[in-house]
Amino acid sequence: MTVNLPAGHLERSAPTSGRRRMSFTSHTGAILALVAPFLILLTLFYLVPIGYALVQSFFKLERSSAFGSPREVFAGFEQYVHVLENAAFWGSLGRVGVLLVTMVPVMILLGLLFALLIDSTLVKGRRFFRLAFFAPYAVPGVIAAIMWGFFYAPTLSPLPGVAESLNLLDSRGIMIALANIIVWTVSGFNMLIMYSALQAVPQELYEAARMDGAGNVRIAVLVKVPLIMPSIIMTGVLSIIGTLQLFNEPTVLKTLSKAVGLDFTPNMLVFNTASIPNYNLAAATSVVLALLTAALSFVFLRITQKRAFE
Amino acid sequence: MKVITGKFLTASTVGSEGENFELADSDVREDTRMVKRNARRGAVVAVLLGALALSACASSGGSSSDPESCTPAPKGEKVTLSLSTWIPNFQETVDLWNSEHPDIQVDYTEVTQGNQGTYQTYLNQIKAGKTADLGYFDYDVLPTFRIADGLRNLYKCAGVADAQDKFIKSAWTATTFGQDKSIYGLGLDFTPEGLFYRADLFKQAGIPVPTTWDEYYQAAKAVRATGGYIANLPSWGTFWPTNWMQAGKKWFELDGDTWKVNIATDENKQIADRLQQLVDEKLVTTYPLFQDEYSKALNDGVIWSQLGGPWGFRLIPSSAADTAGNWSLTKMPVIDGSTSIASWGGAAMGVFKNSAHPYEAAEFALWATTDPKALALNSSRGGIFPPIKDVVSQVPEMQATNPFFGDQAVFKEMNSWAEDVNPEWLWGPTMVQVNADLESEMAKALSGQQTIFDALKVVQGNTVDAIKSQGLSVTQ
Repeated sequence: MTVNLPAGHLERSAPTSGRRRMSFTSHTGAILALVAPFLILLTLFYLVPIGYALVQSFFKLERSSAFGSPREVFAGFEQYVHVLENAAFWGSLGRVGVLLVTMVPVMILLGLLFALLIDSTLVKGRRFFRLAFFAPYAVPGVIAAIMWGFFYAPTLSPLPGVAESLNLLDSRGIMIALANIIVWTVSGFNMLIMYSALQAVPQELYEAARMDGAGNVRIAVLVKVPLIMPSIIMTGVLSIIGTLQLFNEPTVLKTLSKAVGLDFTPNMLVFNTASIPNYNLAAATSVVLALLTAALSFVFLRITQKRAFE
Repeated sequence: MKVITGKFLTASTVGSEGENFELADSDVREDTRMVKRNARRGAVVAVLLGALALSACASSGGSSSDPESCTPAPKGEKVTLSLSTWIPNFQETVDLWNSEHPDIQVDYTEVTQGNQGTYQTYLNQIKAGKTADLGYFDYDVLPTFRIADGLRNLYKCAGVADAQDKFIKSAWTATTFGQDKSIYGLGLDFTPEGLFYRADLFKQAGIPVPTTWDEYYQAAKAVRATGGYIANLPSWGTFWPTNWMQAGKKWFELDGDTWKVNIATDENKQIADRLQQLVDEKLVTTYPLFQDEYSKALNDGVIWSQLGGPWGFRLIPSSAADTAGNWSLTKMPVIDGSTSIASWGGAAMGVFKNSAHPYEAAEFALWATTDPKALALNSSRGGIFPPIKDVVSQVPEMQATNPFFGDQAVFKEMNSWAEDVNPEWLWGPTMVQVNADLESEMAKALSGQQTIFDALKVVQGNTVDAIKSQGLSVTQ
């Protein structure tokens, strides 16, 4: 981010520090003043908690008697060994992993499809559809989960016969039940991001393509999609992060389904471990989860960016 | 992060505010200096310093000469105590105390049920060293809070030890852990397990209300034959231990300083098999308890009975409003040849270790748990049953009849078998984990993916690991 402010403006906004510290650029004071609120908040609510979790993850508890008070002692990577040996952790990762490879493509493709449709000249009432597709995203995840949960539960559903035969709340159906709620919520959001990108594409490109004899479908696939690839990739990264951090929706479904345990997703597992209380293990688990999320996002970016821009 | 779930679960909050504020204080000063020099390196250092400082102060405890001595505040000093519970309308009990005790005022906050977030908040406060004076603890989590070094031993506080004779034995042993000279809470809510049943349906079908588990199985088959279900087996963690508590089997024992875990022993299998039979023969429903599907089945008369403590007086009417007047309460079925029952739930009032006024806090707790005027409010306005011997004759209000339960005097009924609760039971030090694991594993058992005994074996293994991770010595 570069900011070029006129000198007079700078004088007015931060006169003292600007003059005193001449060793840096003359903008230092202004830069600091503008960036400080962000840095302070970033430090207090982001870096410090992460650092605290990191420190906690290297400690364990020791006691001398059955009800003795705890001492925290350095444990090296012991908590991390527990995390990697924890079947519940891998189970929860497996579940979000399944969602990553099945649900995330669906919600990106649906978003893309909606975006292309409301961007095309074929569809009437585009403004209505844009709002209609986006509306579910305005519904909080918890409310969405309660609402869909009532559809799934045979005794509560307005369509009891359908709910009974689909049986989405048992251990086989629960992933579909969950994926459906999230796809319903997030596809419209993905659509909006991609649609905004489409709006920025110069109309001349379409005219040129049309002159070359391309139909609507070819324009969509060969012109529009490549041009908005960065937006599609962004929704992909957001979806990966969102899926790994699932908490609200499965927690709500837990009240309707035996198939959802307190360790259903990694975040639920961390929350539950902290309430045992086993802060050290919870810290180590969240560090591992954060590293995995970063790694996955990074790998996804590397792969897709090669494909998109080569 | 807020979680809103069905009717029973309320909003739960990750209560880590205490810690963050502590960090904020020390780091703001650190930051303003650092940012000027080198923002990135400074931030990292600040993070590490802050975190280390915090872990250091978390591990340093109190250092007075006798940590358990309990003396009153100097004469004339006005004491204000802070307290939180989730007992409905407990403010009225507190108001009564405040009007009678101008020098010891209680500042009361109603909070969400312990397992739905309050215990997490308490534990975070203990870690941050910023607790209230008094808290409210289910009997099963008292050991957890004791090993978290959060509770004060009230043994030396005036009048506490002498109150033993007033309390029903099992509620007293739950707060003393069966040890000498230790009292870590005073029982406020007691939950002798009863059988809430649809008197009208049983009568109509000519099925006798079961008094033993053998009769229960026969009744379950007869109820199923009419199209209903005798009960709902929930995956809810806290339900499961009660079955073994009633049978006199111990899940946890203390041998010196070593915890012994006996959740999945061969002698415990018998009880598991009895419950397994109900599941295998599909004689019960298995909905999450007091959630929407369950409530509908209860309201529609599909489910005919529900085991439970006095919380049933509140939860059953709110789940099945259309069935008012048709319910009745009796003692839970017993094992043939025994009169022993279990307690499902219940909670005690405890004093946090770093309360500045343990003497006054204990005085209030003693009053709130034993004074007939307080008990009358607790039971009539809070719906709780106090663990006080023959409480119904001391508190005439508790003889009132309840129209939802066919004008039965429900507290009087409960009083008649309250002392049958098995007092020889010790809760483990990691019950939050045990309950969570029970819930996950029993859910699999109830949906046929494994047996109930298999579930217990998994819970046993996880529990041993969890106790170990608390730095405690454990065997199995």
